[in-house]
This record gives sequence, C-alpha cells and structure tokens, in this order.
Amino acid sequence: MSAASGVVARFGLAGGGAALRVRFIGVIVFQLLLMAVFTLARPRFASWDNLQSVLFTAAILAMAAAGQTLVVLTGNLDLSVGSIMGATAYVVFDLTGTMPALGPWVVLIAVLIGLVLGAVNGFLVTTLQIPSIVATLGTLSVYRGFVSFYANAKEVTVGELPPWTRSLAAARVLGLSSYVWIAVVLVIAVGVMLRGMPWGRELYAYGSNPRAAYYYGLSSTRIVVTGYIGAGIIAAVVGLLLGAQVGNINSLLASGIEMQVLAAVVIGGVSIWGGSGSVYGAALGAVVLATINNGLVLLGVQEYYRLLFQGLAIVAAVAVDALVQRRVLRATRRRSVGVAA
Amino acid sequence: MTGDPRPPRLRISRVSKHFEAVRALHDVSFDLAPGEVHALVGENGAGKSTLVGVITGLLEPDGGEVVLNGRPVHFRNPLQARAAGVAAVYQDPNLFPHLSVAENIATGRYPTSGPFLDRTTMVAQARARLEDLGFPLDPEQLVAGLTVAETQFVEIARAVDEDLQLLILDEPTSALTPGEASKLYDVVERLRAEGTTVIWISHRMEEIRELADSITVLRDGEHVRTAPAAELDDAEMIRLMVGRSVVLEQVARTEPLGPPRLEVENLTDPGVFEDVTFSVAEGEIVGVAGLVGAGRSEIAQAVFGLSPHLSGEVRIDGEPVVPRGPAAMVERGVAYLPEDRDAEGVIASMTIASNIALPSIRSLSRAGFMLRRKERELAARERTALSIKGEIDDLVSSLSGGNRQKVALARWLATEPRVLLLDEPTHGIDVGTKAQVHDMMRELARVRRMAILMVSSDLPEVLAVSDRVLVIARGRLVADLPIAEATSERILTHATAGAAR
Repeated sequence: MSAASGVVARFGLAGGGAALRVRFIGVIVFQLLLMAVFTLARPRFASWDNLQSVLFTAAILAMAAAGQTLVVLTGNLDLSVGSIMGATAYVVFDLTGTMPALGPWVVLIAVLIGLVLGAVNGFLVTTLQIPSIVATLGTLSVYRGFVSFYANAKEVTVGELPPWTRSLAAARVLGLSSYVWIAVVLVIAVGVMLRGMPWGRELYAYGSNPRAAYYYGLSSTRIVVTGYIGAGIIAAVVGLLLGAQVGNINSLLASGIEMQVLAAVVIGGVSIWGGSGSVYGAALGAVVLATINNGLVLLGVQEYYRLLFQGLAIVAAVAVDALVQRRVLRATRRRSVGVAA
Repeated sequence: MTGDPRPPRLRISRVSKHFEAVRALHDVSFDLAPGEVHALVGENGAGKSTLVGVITGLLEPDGGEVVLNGRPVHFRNPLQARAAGVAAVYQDPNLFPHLSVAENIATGRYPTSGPFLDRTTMVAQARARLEDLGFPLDPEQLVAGLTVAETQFVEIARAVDEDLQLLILDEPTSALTPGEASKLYDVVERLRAEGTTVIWISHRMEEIRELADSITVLRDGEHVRTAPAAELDDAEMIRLMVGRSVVLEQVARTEPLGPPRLEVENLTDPGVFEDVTFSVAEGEIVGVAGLVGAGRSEIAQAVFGLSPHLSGEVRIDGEPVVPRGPAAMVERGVAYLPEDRDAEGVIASMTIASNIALPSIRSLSRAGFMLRRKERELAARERTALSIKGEIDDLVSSLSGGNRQKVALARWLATEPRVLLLDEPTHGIDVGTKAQVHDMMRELARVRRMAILMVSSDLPEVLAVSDRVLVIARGRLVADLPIAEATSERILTHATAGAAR
C-alpha cells in the first residue's frame, strides 16, 4: 500500500476520504494566510466592519454554492444558477408589487419556480442526454431571456418589495447580518441531508461511479434530477434574498454570478469529476473568494489583477484535485490488473 | 527444433509475467518459423493475450526476452513493434469511427505533399491495399458505417505492410460469417506465401486444421507443447489444454434443492444469443461455461435487464417479469455482479461500510435519515462474516481485488436477493481468496437459499462450485450437464464443437 492510499484508508470518510479532509484543511490554511497578508498590508481589513462585509458577500455566495454542490457531486454543472436567481427575484417581486396580500407565500412561489427551472435542467441532462455544460449554458440564456422579455426593460423598484423582506435584509442578529445566519443554517441543513439521508448517499455513489451505481439498481435519472431540483430551489431562494437586499431589481440581477459560484465550489474542494467533496468545503470556498475580492479592493488593486488572482486560485485548486484524483485512480488500478492484457 | 539453418522469425525465450498475485505467464519459450501459420491455443486465461501483449510491447515482461529474426527486441509500445514489422489485430477492432477507411489505414504514416496531407495518394494507397487483400471496400466511406467484419478487414489492411514480418490475429473469426472467414483464410494463405509469419489465436478446431502449420498449447500461463499440426489430433489438443495443475475442491451438498427460482424461456437477443432456455432452482448454483464471446455474460446481463431488444420469458419464483432495467430487477430480488469490479462493481472512493450498505440504505433509515449505528453494525457484521481485510471505514480503493469482490458480495448478503447473477466472480483473484469466494457462494446458495447463475471462464471453478453446467457456444445453449457428468474435456468439446458452425 502506498503512502497515499494508506493515508486515504486511515482517514476514510463517505465520499471523499483523506483527500477531502486534507483538501479542507488546505483551504483553511490558505484562508488564514490570505487574512494574515491582507491584515499586514491593510490593517483595516481586520476591522469588524470590514469582516462583516466579507461575511455578507460570502453568505450569498455560500448559499448558491451549496446548491451548486448538489449538481457538481453528480459530475454535472449548473451554469444557469445566476439566471434562476435573477428570474425568480424579478418575477416574485413583480408579483408582490401587484398582489401585496401574498405575504410570506412569496417564498413558496420562489421555491416552485426554482423547482420547475431545476427540473427542466435535469430533464435536459438526463432524458435528452445533453452534456450538462451545454444544457445549462442554454438555459442560462433562456431563463435570462425570459426575464428580459417579462420585464420589458422595466425595473421593480424598492417600493414594490414587501417591507418585511427589506427589514430581513437589513436585520442583524448577534452583530451579524441575518443573511449570514441564514447561510449557516442552509449550509448545515444541506450538509446534514447529504450525509444523513439515503438520497445524499446515492448522490455521492452516482457521482463517484455512475456505472456501478447503475448495477446497484440506482436510478441515475432520479439522482441527477433531484440534484438539479435542489440546486434550482436553493438558487431561487438565494435570488429572493439578493433581490430583497438590492432593492431596485432589473432583469440583469445576479448575471455572471455562476462563475463565482462555480469557483467557490471548486476552490472548496468539490471534485469537478463528481463524487467527492462537501458542502462545507464549498461554503469555505465562498469565504475564500469573498476574502480575495474584498482584500484586493482594499489594496486598491485594479480589477483585472483581481480577476487574474481569482483565476489562479481556481486553476490551482483544480490542479490539486486532479493530482489527488490521479493518485486515487493509480491506487485503484494497481490493485486491479487482471490476467488479460 | 527443426534442422532449418535460418534463425526463427520469432523466438519467445523464457518469458514470464505476473499481475499481482496472478501468474499470467511463467517461463514460456517457443519458436516461430518464417512464413508459417502458427496456432496459439489454450483455455481462457491460459496467457495467450498476455503473450501477445508482451510481443507487441503492450506489456513489459518480468523476465525473458523476445527475439525477432535473431535480434532481441524490447518494444516499448505497439507503434515500435509496427515499425519493426510486428502487428496485431484484435477481436474488437480499434479504429476511429469518424474517420474514413483510407484515413484509418494511413494513420501514423500519412502520405504528404509538402506540409499537407496528400489525400489522393492516401486514398489510392488504401484502395490498392484493400484490393490486394481481396476486400474491395470504398476507401472514402466512414468506418462508422462498416460491419464488424469490414472493420476487421480495415484493421488487417492497416497492419499489412510491405515489410510485415509477423501478424498476430487474436480470435479473428469470432464475429465473421463463414463467407467472410474464408476471405480471411485467403489473406492468411497469401501472407504465408509471401513469407510472413502469422500467429492465429483461435478456439475453433476446424480453423486450426485448415490453416495451421504448427500449434502451441498454453495452459495456466505455462508452455505445454509446440508441435507440427499433423502431430496433434483434436482430442490430444484438448487434453493438453485442460490437463490441470490446480485442483479446486468440490464440497458435497447436504441441503436439498428447492423449486425453480429463475426460469428463462426462449430468451433471444438478436445477433447476441438465441432461444436460450434454462432454470435455476432455489439453493442451486448453475455454472455457465463457454468460450469468450459466446454470449455468456450477455445472457446474465439480459436477465438483469441490460438488453433493450430482448424477447422471450423470464420468471422469478414463477412470476413472469419483464427485465426492463437494473432498478426494476433489483426490486424483484435479482442482483448482478459485473465482471469489471473496479469500473462497475464497487464504488472505490467510498468506504467499505458505505458500499455494503448502499443497496440497503432505504431499509437502514428512519424518517428519511440513515441510522448510522445500524449501518455500521451491518457493515461490521458482514466484514467479520466474510473476513474482509481492512476496517469498515477504509476506502474500498485500498483493498486488493479479492477483498473488493468480497465487499461486492457482502452487500448482497445484506439485501438477500432471490437470484444472484455472477459474472467471472474470481477473475484476477489469487487462489486462496478464490476458495473463500467459492465458500461464500455455497453459503449463499445452500444456506441462504438463493439461486445463483455463475458465468465463468475458469473451468476448475465451474466444476468445483456448480451443481449443473450450461455450455454456451455462438449464442446458443448447446449442453446442460449435471455436475456428475461434467468434465473439462466434455465442456470444452461442446464449447468448441458448437463453435464450428
């Protein structure tokens, strides 16, 4: 047994093992390093105000990343997450403007929209067998196009938003934004579901080895579709929260966020090949990303440097994952060579 | 060998090759004369494919050497072998379906004019070569539209070169019709006349009789005999192929057989297998023997719902079932263990406990959440019962092949299926673990009352474990032998005779 597989065996964990744990610790170390550097360079980084702002950005990103994790674990992608967020926020708040009586039911409407849009993604990927990157690239445009059409170049203004959503967005609990707490609860809930429910186990099993999952009698369609539906619902709810915070909502809300969300998931160690990683890692990845963005702004770094740095972090994270993946594969292969050439 | 003063075209000298605990080739030596057709025979797993791999540079031998025309050669890959005039054509053609026939034939040796591909020359060369060989295919059509036989001819056209020294054909006729096969014979005759040596790997006696000048028999990775074809009759060849060094013990059964659990009637998958009828009783292990490619695995897979074009009837415990897919069949109490454990059998990146519990996760949960303590208890119990090496929290990727197979079996102990379909259950597993897996199978059948259908290429295994042996040849059930009447010779005679159309 090689050192690598030995370590892997000792730290065994469902769906990731030592690789996951080492990777997680690596991200924490990277985050601490970032914070140290930024604090030394700009002491203002460590101010309570600034950290709160970092956490707020991270909260939105972490929630969306939690949804994305459900899809990436199955070995797929959801590029339409930003469009689902924007579409839900616009449609729901447009409805509340005309029908204030809806009250908290708006959340249910958002969930329904997310469910349908997620199910469409899942249908395209499973039943029609379209590669997920293409399918969701398509729905990214379709969903966004639908909002533009629906919005007809108009905005939903702050006044149309239900007051309670505005006060929720502004609320503070124990000194932190309510959104940070919502994100913590959501991430833990998804984590507990993935770990504790049969459905979560199937998600990991399928992502890790679709062929074997098939022979186990698991339904790939059900697994992938539920992943997309989960991601859609979470994206819809996050869209609502983002809309409530922004106030004036146009049809471009949250456009382009899918890259940030994917970056968070990947930096957090969720394997882009599926089957490995955790929602906590993805949330941590969101914190790292938020820290990078905030720190570089404080340093007065130009926008393109920020993009450069963010891109490097993503590539480095995936390179590390590829390395881990190769090691695991090598250990697998070495022990399984058959008689046949 | 003979008094021929010329060096042999190819000399295999003391070649050995191991895969982990499995000895694939051991101290194999023999010579091939220039311009002869040399049949290489042996049971499945005798080491033929491994030997081909060693000759073509696909595999590196642990010891010994390969000598071509008197010069030792060490090909690092099949491309180097090709450059030296050694080519192999396998059962499953490896071509580029989206490219044309001419492009496939020219791969790696494209004619150019300046920096550009010379299409006209490429097509002309391909056409000339195909006509030379007697299969006039259109060189400009895509390989994707060809029949299996045609793709095989393209492969051969690709292999045949002006300076071809040695051509290896691995079961070349298994997918061919008689007419196509006789075309292939013509090509081989022509190559022989031109002085090319041909290694012909086959299980079909009549082919060997028709073509071979000499015959080499391999058994369990060892060289048994090389002789002129005239000196070996069929019975002697089969005897040499099966004569055994390893004997697996039978264990007499005390438990009675129950009523039929799995009944299959007139099962047909067009072009794969036809009109197969058999049954497996409660508590019974039925072995399925036959040559590689005869359609054995496909029958097991069809019962598990993996063939879309199936006709015929399948009954589980007397109830008709439509094998529509694995999920439906698992629900009906049918479990299937695929041959390729790592790619299809276990989820290597998950722990032993998770793998064992995976088919049972619904019964191990309450109110939608899994009861981790129960899951671990189950895994720990099965781990002990099967003496799986490693802790239940270890990843399956850290286990050896034998232990992975035990994990794969363990999960079915937990769900207790009614019918268990096993495909090469001990493929690539060392002898000690093999016996343990056999004991488990007996326990599953006799004590836990499952009906087990076991596809195996390992004849001693079939004889040691089965209560009855089905022999499949060319997609047809050609014999249904009670274990008392089954011998290696009889099984092999049925398997090879059935193969002779």
